Amino acid sequence: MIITKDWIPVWKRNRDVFKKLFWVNFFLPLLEPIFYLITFGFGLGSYIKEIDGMPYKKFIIPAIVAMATLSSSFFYTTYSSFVKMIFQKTFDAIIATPVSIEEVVVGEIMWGATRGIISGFMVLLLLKMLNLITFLGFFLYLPIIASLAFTFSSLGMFFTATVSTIESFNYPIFLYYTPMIFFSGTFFPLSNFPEAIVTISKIIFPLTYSMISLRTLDISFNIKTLLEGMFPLIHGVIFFILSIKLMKRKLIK
Amino acid sequence: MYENSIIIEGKDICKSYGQTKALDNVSFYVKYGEIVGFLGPNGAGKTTLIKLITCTSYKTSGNLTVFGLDTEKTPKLIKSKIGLVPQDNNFDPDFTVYENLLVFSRYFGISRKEAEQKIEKLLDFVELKNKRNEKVTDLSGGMKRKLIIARSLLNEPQLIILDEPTTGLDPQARRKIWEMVEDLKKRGKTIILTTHYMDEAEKLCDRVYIMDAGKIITEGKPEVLIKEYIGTETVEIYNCNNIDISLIKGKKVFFKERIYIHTDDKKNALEKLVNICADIKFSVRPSNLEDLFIYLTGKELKE
Repeated sequence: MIITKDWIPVWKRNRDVFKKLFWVNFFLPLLEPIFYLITFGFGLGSYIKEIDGMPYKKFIIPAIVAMATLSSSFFYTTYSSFVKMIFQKTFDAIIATPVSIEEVVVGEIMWGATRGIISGFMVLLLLKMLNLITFLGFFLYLPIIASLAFTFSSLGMFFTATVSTIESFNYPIFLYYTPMIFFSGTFFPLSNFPEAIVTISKIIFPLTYSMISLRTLDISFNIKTLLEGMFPLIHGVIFFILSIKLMKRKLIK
Repeated sequence: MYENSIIIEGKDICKSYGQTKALDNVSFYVKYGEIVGFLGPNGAGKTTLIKLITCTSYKTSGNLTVFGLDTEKTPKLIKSKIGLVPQDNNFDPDFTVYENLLVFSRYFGISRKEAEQKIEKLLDFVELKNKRNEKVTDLSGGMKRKLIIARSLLNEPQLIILDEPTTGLDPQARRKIWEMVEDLKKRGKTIILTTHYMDEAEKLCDRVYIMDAGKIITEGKPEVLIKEYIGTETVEIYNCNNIDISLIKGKKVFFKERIYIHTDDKKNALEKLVNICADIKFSVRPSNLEDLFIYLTGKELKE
């Protein structure tokens, strides 16, 4: 597997489309975290006093940031990449140039990650303006957002390389992505569940680590906590390599 | 590159997809400055062959070199010198005409400044200057093909591959594309063309390979092949019930309720034909590649 800097023009292509479709594809989805904040933070949050010694509206902050990041990355390398690959034949056009299929996949994943980072950052800005995160938290969130963005961008590409029709994305979305969004210690703590379930949750849903870390990092810095929060990267690297290999097998016959 | 030097050479190429053999022991060559056609019905193996030449597929066995380089060892270098006009107009629908070309130029590592100059010239060449800011999805079929030809020329390729360049176009647009192809030949480009339009192949190609079911059946200059295999004239008889044509000399092909008699001796054929029956419907015309193909395979090209 040889990957040169030729993935960069693929990344730039995606950036250029993003600029053109900024409003409809990017700005509108950013309203979603605001709805979550209103519903769970200010709505439901006013009935729940504290969770783990923390006001509920602060408890769900990591979830709101993560959801914006994850969906921005994951839905890019799933639906958007699939449409380009199968319907627009964009990948076919690119691999007839010196750019290889591996580099196309890297360019896609890297853009998916970039997109996730931008989304996460925008939500973070909003939360800072509402004074819902600390100054320290603002900066410590960034590496974790980046690792989540890369991981879920790679994971999305892995599914794109494995599904046969666009409808089949429902399998990973409803059997993996959606349960993870709810069961990773996002909107309620896992501490009341049996230890075994918590352990399983941590293994299959890497997001769990990031949620726990982010809540701590908002208050105090600790390198171990930061690294734990970036734990999903391990999944990310595995799926990054897998998706490149599978995509090559899928497209170069 | 010198005259007569070999640009592409393929020897005993086989390509299987599972049980199906897409290419079965195919050998061919393309010389510098030639226009070479690969003709055959859908499923003959033309597109598979193009995928191998453009390094976007792996052969099962055999040897294939492009510019003297192995397609599986040096794909990047080979691809940097090829311009491909694919069957599908695979543009970026989100971009305008100009943006499509600009974005594509980056895949070849062309700097923005250089690309801007090239795009001006290419838009001029394909007569799309006034469409530069239109969305590609708004272009007509002919304009889309022209744009994709412009796109294939961004990297100033030595070898241009046109995969069914005029399929689905109106006669005027086809002629325009033909003019461009001839123009490119004059500029010293080597060109490969696949088509199932025989008039297109006869008009443009110096040499053709006729393919069917993954095999190359024959190879040569179109007019020579026609003369060698079937003769220069063809009598096509439309109503052929109970006609005794045994007296007419020539190669007879029965195909879809018609009789084709291929001959070099038009006079003899016509005299005999008039004697057979008065109300026979027929036409006499020069033989073409389509006749040759039907003669060789018993199949029609357009399916």
